[in-house]
Formats: sequence, structure tokens, C-alpha cells
Amino acid sequence: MDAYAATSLELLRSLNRSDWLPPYDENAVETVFKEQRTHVAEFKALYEAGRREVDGVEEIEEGIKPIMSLHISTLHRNKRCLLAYQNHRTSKLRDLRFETSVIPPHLKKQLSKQEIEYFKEYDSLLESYQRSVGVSLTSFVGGLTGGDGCPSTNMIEVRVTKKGGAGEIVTDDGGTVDLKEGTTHFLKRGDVERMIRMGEVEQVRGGV
Amino acid sequence: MLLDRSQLRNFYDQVVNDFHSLRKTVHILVNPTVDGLCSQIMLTKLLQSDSVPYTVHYVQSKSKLLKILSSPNAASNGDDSDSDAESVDPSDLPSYVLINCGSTIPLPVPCYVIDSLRPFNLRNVYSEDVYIVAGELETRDEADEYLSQGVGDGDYLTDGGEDEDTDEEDGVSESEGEEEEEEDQDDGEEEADFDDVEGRSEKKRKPNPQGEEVEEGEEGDQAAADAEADDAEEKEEEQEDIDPIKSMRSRRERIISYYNQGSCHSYPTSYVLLHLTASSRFSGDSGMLWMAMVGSSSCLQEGKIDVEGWREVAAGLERERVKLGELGTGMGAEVVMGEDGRTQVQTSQRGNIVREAEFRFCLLSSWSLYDAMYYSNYVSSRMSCFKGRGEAKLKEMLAKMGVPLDEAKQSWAFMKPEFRKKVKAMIHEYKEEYGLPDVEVEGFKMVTGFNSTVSSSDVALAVRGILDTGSSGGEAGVAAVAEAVDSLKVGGTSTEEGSTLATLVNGGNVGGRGISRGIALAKTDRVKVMEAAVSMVEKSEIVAYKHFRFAYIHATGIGANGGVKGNSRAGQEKDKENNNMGRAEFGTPGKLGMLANFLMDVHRENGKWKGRKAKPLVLLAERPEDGMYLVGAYNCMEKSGTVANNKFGRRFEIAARQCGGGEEKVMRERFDDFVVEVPRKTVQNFVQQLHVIMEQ
Repeated sequence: MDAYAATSLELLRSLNRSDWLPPYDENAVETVFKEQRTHVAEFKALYEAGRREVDGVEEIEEGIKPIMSLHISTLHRNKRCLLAYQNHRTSKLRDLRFETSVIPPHLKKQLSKQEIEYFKEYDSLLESYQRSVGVSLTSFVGGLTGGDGCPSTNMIEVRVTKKGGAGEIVTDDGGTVDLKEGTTHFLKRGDVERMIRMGEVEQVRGGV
Repeated sequence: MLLDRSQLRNFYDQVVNDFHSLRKTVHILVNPTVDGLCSQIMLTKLLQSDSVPYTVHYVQSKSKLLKILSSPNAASNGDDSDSDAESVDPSDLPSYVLINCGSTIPLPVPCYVIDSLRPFNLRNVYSEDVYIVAGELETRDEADEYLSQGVGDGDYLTDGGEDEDTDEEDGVSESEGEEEEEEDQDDGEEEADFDDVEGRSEKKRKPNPQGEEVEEGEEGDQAAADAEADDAEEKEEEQEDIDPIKSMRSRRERIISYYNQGSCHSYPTSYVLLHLTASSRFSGDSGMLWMAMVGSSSCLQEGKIDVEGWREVAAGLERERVKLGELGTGMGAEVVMGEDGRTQVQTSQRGNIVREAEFRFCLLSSWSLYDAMYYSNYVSSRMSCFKGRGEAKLKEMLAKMGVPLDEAKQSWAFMKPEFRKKVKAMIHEYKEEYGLPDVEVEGFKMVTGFNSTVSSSDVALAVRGILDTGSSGGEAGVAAVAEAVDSLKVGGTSTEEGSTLATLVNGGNVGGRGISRGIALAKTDRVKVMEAAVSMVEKSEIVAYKHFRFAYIHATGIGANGGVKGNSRAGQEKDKENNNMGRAEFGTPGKLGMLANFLMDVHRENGKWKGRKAKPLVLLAERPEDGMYLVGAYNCMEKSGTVANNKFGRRFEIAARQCGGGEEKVMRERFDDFVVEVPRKTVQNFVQQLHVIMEQ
């Protein structure tokens, strides 16, 4: 076994390294669970070995107390790391819901099945809440999270990056635009906002 | 219908009005050259300011252009059905704006065309629906001249395309023969003996700045011949009134002579578009001016305009620059007073454009002085730097200039200021002695981040380098065009150093994307071009026929005759033996053109391809990925910096027809008709056919 709590610490570091979320590391999580079980087993073994009765009172041998304490601390540390790992990921998922109601394909592969399920459940909860209060919390640009901030113009230039094209869209004014791969379009922001978030088109910035 | 530059505003207003009144969307079809991309950026900026939605398509071939134009639903609605555009009500069609493409092929739908390539397809010229911005009045006069001669007879031009083609093709063979006979004779005789009609069109044609130098002399010499030709024509016209068959034949000959004048380029499209922006709210916009400068510089580098043409364009650009109030180095800089009230603190001059005569070195601001001289066409061809003696001569020049070799090989940005400051004066002192009299040329520079400067020609080279990486099309092509467009823009999302002009620092570590990557690619390209050229000369790979020279640039051991199998060990051994592995990159028009220019410059300067020995050069570069050879034909001019019409388009057309069709068909898809793609099995036959055609 590696140093105690090394795997759970590495999980947190992977969060720090990624732009959004790293792929859900099921193996690492399972390794932490195994480590937890080992700590519990070793703790129990030490307890059994060091336990003795003096004058009818149960005592633990003084020499093994620090080792037992180390095991308990490691158990708590691993637990906190795993909870932090999961909390960060679910927090990101909740933020994502305010940007798009569908998980973009390039982000979907980073998530576990349970996380995808969580997103769907959260989506339905949010939808039902919005219906009940009659207010859309996600209709303005950037949603609650603010996104890029208030746009300076309602039209933007976008470039289609999705292989094979992003398909046909119906614009606000009733027209249709075919977003073929490699083409560049100047459209209303609202027409392509969802696709930008899906990573199918990218906003062309800069000017001359 | 031809429009001159003064009507550009009307053309633009029509597009905008069509959107506002008829809700016509705008589709911009761009040939992704440096000039084309600069023009696209200029036009889209105007449309953005008017809140007109648009779609930009990048088209590299005639078939793709026609596919988009012929399928209006595909363009506007995304339906890939092959519905005929001509059957659709024109008011339902979107507004098509074609940049640097389309003027030379008959367009099936109403379009607005801004294209520097000539000659225009006459069907477009006389169409009521196709608006072509000619860029200059001479071309319009020329077309009117043909119209007055009856070339533009509606019946003929609206005949079935196949019939028209057949007529033309039949005539071309005949005319080609005549033309080649003329080429064997002296220049003076060539004009005198030329067919009256053809001679008249040749002499009066002034379609572009670069053509003037070549043809003006002929005009002066042929004044008397003109008068005779006019008399003969009057008689001919009288006869035509009587004989309709002769009239038809005469008209056909005029059409043939019109197309046989060869392809050439007029003013750069970005320069023409500058006149549109000058009449808009962007008249004081330095970004638009910079785009025109980069686009025009690229045309000079690619041999689309000659040095005289560039001087004219540069003068026009300078007039616009002066209008911006940027009257020279440092004049546009803001100067504020320091806290003590006495110290002048110069703030950033970023974006400031200055006019400066620049040396004809290659990427000087991003390379070392030594490399910039060594790898430049101008210096290397005159001093033969690729030879030991030439390199010694270059070092000697640097020594006389008082620049230590270590400093000369140091990056220009990091060269000691004491040496850098005196380089200009010292080059002026020694340029005559070392045969570099015209080492300076008009240029423009922009101040980038941290007060670095970059010249328009360097940016053009860098963008061209990026575009060449995607010339094979597909995903690489899409990515290359996107990167090239981003590189041309000043700002952007990327904060990586060197990715845009705003963050470019000369001499700094180059980044992995954008303009700095383009500069790195341009350097690599220059090195490869020189290595390939030296290798070709050393191995005597250039073969001289009677009317042209040609050379194969093999990338595999297969060869044009298919003798060695591609993936076999023998083939690979042969690749190594012939050092062909790095030659696959010449399968792009840009690099092939660079190689041809360098070869011609070298041989012109050493006197081997001068006078009667100056024959066109045909290069055949193998592309291993699709088993094709990219074939380009280039005029070898008597004088450096001049340009003449390239007549190989028609010759290639006939040679391709002689080679037959089927799966091994010659592909004539590029807008520049002197570059074609020939299948490996056909390429030898193609060269032979070309020789036969020119021999006739």
C-alpha cells in the first residue's frame, strides 16, 4: 500500500489540474474504499491484540495507541477527500445545468453513470421549480452563473467546428441556417448559444 | 455586368438593402488565399456593422463553388438536394458574394463577384444578373470593345454550354498552333504577323498594372500596324454585313483571342475593397488598411502583381495611410508628460502603421540578418549563397559592413543595437558592389505588442505558410483556414504569446499557434525550397524541351512511370537514396510557386535562362497521399519583378483532353488555370502532349 491517503489526495489534485472536470476515476475511488477497509481491519486487529483487562477494567496497551490513532485519522481524511471530490463534481454539474439543459457530448464522457443520473434528476427538479414559480432562472445569457457577462451586441460571429457539421437551425426570425463544418456565420447570439456551450461551434473573437 | 471601383458602394448597398427589404441572406464564397481572407475580413466587418447576417464558405475548387451555387437549398437551408438553382425564383435566392473566385467560370445564379483573376468569362460579363467588380476602367473598356465587335452577341453567349465549348475548343487548337509559330519568331515579327483581330486585342489590352510594362513598348512600336489593322477591320466589317458565316467566324475568333490572352491578375481584391471601406464609416480604420496592405503584399510575393504594379498599389495605400493621420514613424505615438512635468513618456504605439522601405530579405524581424539574407530569393539568387563561394561572398559583405558573424547570426531582435542601427546605412554603401541595387522595396509595418514591429510582407508569408498546411483540404484545410483568419486579426481569445499581432514579440519564443507558428512555418518553407532547388540543380533534374523546361519532384520511389512499388523496400530505399522524403510538401500550389520562382530567379541571375533561353518552367510535384501530381507552369521573365499573362491554362486544357478521361482524368479544378492535378499514370503522357501542343 502506498502512503496513507495518497490516492484520495491525488483525486483532489486531478480536479485542480483539469479545466472543467477530469473523467470520473472509478478505479481510484475503489482503491480508496479498499484502503478504508484495510484501515478498519488493521484497527480491529490492533485493538484485539492490545486489549487487556486490569482489575475488571478493559485497557489498551499504551504502545499501540498512536498506531490506532493514525488509522482513524487516515479513515477520516480519506472520507473528507472523497466527499470533497464528489461535492466539487456535483457542484460543477449544477452549474452546468444553468448553462445548458443537455450535457454536451464532449463533457458527457467525463462523467460517471450516477453523475449523469444526478444531472437529469437535478434538471427535472429545476424545471418543476421554475414552472411552479413561473420564473425562468436560466433564460438570460450566462444563466445564474454569469457566463461571459453581459454581451455588448446581440449578434456574434461563430465558426462551425463539429465534424460533419452542426446541422440545421431555425433562427429567431424564422429563417434556417445550415451549420456546415468549416463555415463561418454571423447570427443572433440566442440562435447559437446552446451550440457554443455544446462545443459544436466556437465564437470568433478579435477583429481588425 | 462590369462595375468599376466607384460603383462598389452601390453593390454593397444593394446587398444590404436586399437583406432588409427581401430578407435575403448573404453567402460569401471565398477562395482561401491570403488576399481572399483579408478581403473577407474587411467585407464581414462592414456587414457586421450593418447587422447583416452572413455565412462564409471557403471554396478551393470550381466544382465546390458550383455545387454551392447550384444548390440554393443546400446553401440556405441545409438540404443537399440537387435542385437546379436556375429553376428557383431569383428573388428567393440568397445574395452570393464571391471573393477571388468565380469570375472565370460561367455562374449559374445571380452573384456579386470581386475577383482579381482575368480574363473574365464573357457570359458573366454580359449577364444581367452577375455583377463583377472590375477594379479598373480599362477592363470595362476592353469588354465594351468586344461588345462593339459583336462578341457579346446574346444568341451566341446564351447557346448551350456544350456547343459553345466545342466551338471554342475547335478554334483553340487552331489558334494555339498559330500562336506557337509566332513564338518561334522575334518579338517584333510576332506582333506584325499576328492575326489582325488577335493582335488588336493583345495590343489594346491593359487589364492590370503588371501587364503595362510588357505591353506598352509593343504599343509604341506598333502604332502603324494599328492603323493598318483598323483599316483591315473596317473592310472586314463591311464584308461581315454581307456574309453572316464570315461574321460568325470572325466573332468566334475574337472570343478565342480573348480567352487565349492568358490568365493574369488585376489589382488585389483587398486593395479594391479598401475603396469601399473608405466610403464607409470605416474610412479612418487602420485595421481595414492593414488588411489591404497584407493582401496586396501577398499578391506581390505570389507574382500576381509585378514591382511596378506594387508601387502603384503602395502609393494608393500610402495615400490612405496619410489620411489616417499617421505620417511616419512615431508620429502616431501618444506622448504624455511624466509626473515631474518634464519627462516625456511614450505610451504604446500598438496598431500604428508606418511606411518604411524594407529590405528584400526574408522575415528579417523574426530571423537573423544572416539567415534572412541567405534564404531570401533576391540575395540568394544574386549571390548564389547556396554555393560555397556565394556563402563566402555573403560573409565577406557582412564583414565589410562591420557586422561580426556571431552578431549577424544572432536573432535580429537581439542583435546589439550598435550593429543593428548601422546595418541600413552599410547595406546602402555596399549594395552596388555586391550586385544588390534594388535591395529595398516599399513596405508597411505595424507596431505590435511591446513596440515590436512586423511588416505586412512577413504577415503575408506567415499566413501563407499556415494555409499551405491545409491545402490538401478536409479537416486540416478547415483548421488551417480558421487559424489563418485568427492570425490576421489583431485580438482574439488566445492569450498565448505570439498567437496574434497584439501579442507578437519579435525574437521571442514562438508559440504553437497563430501568427508565430505561421512565421516558423514560413522559415521552414524557405529552407526547404532552397534545399529542393539546389538538389534539383545538382542532380540536373530540370529537362529542357524546345518550348519549355520541366522537372519532376518525386516524393516516393514510384516515379512517374510507376516503375517501383510505393511501399516496397526497394521503393523506400530509392526514396532515401534520392532524398525524396521531404519533397512531398511541394504538392501544394503555394510551395510549388515559391520553388519555381526561386529556380527562375537563380537561373536568370546566372544568365542561363535569359534571352532566348528564357522558357516557361513546368514543375510536376508528386502527392503521395492521393497518387496525383500537381503540375504548375510559370513564365520565366526576362527581368526580375515583371509578370506576364500565363497562357498555360488553355494548353493544359487541350493536353488534358488529349490524355483522355475516365478514372485517370486530369483535374482542372483550381481557379488559377495554370495549376492542374494529373494522375500518376497519366503524367508522362500529359507532358508529352503539352510538348506536342506547343510544337504545333
